[in-house]
Amino acid sequence: MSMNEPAVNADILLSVRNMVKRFPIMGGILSKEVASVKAVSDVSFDIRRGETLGLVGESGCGKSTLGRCILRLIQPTSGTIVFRGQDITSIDHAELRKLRRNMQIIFQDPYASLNPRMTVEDILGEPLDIHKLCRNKRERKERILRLLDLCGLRRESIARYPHEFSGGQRQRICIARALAVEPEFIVCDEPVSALDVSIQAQIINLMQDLQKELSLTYLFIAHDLKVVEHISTRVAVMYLGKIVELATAEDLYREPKHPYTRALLSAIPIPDPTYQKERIILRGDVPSPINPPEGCFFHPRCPIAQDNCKIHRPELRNLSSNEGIAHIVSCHYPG
Amino acid sequence: MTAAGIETNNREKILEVQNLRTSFFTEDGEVRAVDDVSFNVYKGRTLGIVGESGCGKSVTSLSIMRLIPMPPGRIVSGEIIYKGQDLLKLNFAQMRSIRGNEISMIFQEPMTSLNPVFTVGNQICEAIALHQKLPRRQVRDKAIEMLQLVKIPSPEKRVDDYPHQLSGGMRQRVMIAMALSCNPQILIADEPSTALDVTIQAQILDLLKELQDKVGMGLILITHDLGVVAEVADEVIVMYAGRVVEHGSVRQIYSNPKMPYTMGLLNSIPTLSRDPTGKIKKKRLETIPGIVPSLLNLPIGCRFQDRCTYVVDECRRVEPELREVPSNKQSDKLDMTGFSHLIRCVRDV
Repeated sequence: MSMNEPAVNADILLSVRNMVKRFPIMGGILSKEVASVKAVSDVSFDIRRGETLGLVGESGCGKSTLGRCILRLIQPTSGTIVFRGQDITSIDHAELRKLRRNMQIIFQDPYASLNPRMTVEDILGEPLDIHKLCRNKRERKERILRLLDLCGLRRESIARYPHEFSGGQRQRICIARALAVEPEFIVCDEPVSALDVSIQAQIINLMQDLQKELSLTYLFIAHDLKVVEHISTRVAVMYLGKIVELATAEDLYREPKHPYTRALLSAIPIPDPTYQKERIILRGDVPSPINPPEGCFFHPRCPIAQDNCKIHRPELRNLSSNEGIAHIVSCHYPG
Repeated sequence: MTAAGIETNNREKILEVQNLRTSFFTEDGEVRAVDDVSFNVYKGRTLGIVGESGCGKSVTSLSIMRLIPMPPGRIVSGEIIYKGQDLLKLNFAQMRSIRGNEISMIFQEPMTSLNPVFTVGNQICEAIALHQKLPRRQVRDKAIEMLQLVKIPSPEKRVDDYPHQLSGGMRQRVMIAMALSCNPQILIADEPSTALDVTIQAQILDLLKELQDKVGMGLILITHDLGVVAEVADEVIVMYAGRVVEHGSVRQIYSNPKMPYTMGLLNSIPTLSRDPTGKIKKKRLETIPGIVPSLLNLPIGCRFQDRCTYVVDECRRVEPELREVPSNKQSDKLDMTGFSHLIRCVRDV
């Protein structure tokens, strides 16, 4: 499979090709563009029907921007997005609105993403009204109640306001809202990172149950590598706006090839005091996406960087010997 | 070093918290945020306090620093003994000479706990000038020295940077530099790495451990991340709804948890399949059903009863006292740290 041609495979729900998003920085008296933040630079991947693609990376690596570009909540600078065989990169607003019935998003902060002045009924009813999915009031109410059941909320919740719920319950409301229009694809942008551990597990289980029941496809964006391994079919690792490694969750966690992925995995604190492991401590911070380094973006922090890495930027290549299961890495010296 | 058995007997106690109760008096009633909490802090050792949001772990640390907003809060009873004196009986001036000098603290948000209109050097100098009688020139040198200690590259330049010019990890380093500038006996770190990325978190935790070895301070690490505690702490307290529910050495808590809440917490974290603990990948995560009870409306009996799978009638009648886990020869062999293992549960263990 070539990464430059949009795939025409029935299994593939979404394909992104060469996506770039630059945010201009204005400056000077004439407010001209003086520089730009390259939040996403030349990213290509596919998401298959029914799978969960995990997207991990540190803050500022462009994972949320990528998620939002896919839904066209942010207009990408260039590249193409093909969803269910239709090129959605430049469709107009009316069409986009129709499209949003099939693609939804769940945000990180359940405190900020619910309107405090709306009751649960209003919150869950709004998407139903926008897409005119109910013929009458009774049907609307029934549908809202069914959504509450589905997401493990009590039926009495319908008349309540967001402040009356705990964080985990609010995230359930956010999930119910995303499911109201019966979408096929949901971008989950750090859906559990604001929650406590015991509540996190409840929400992850709920999301997995819903996926099975409603045959959903997820793009699961998170920085917690443990959660991502648990929920994902395949995992992509981003660094400074680029995908540096993409493989099945099993391969990526068992045999990470990119030195950045290896360092990330070694940095996770393990809840077992008897376990002694080798930790790769990376030097310094993520470089600024305004002036990314020459050559490989990772070379200033890379423990195995060679002279070659400072000059030539590695391309993504498939290192898997197994036909059909790709393990894509961009590194000159993969491990 | 975690669990080094030989050091058992020469632990030096530097802080003793006894039966601490801190409440907030609100319109809806008294919220007992910290309810009868006792522990010791030892020189050169790390005490981890874990629990979910609202369990009282941060209020405990703020009580030690006497930073509880009053009103609505008040330290109702208890003793915090430091160097033979009760911190709760000191007047404000006396407390100020200890706070930031002998006991200091770093907070979760390095973005909000630095003042944006002063250079970082200025802010470090403030603490030094306040507590140590040094000539002006030397105060600045000391600030640079501190920045060097926390491994900030080119500290003589960075000392004149404003907080916004630094990344999150660097700001947390500045906070640590500031907290350590007066050579404190005790450092309280309240979620020091929570707002940071994993690779930066690893750097900061490593730095804290290294500095502790160098300076020999006692560290209280407050976090909700059980992984972080396992790597850094010697002794662990698990808190739930204002109470200590389990207390022991890091090995006792992780290899042999006895309180159902601790067991539930440990089971609800996804494990990495590449680590020895997670060889069998879990299809489904175990969860603790329900949510934390409101501190205004606590049930009679054990506070964890409604979420507990082992609940019996007795749990609903009386709240269990903190009691010692009967010693077990096998686990004692593994654990020679000398910390006793306490739980608040009636279950037969």
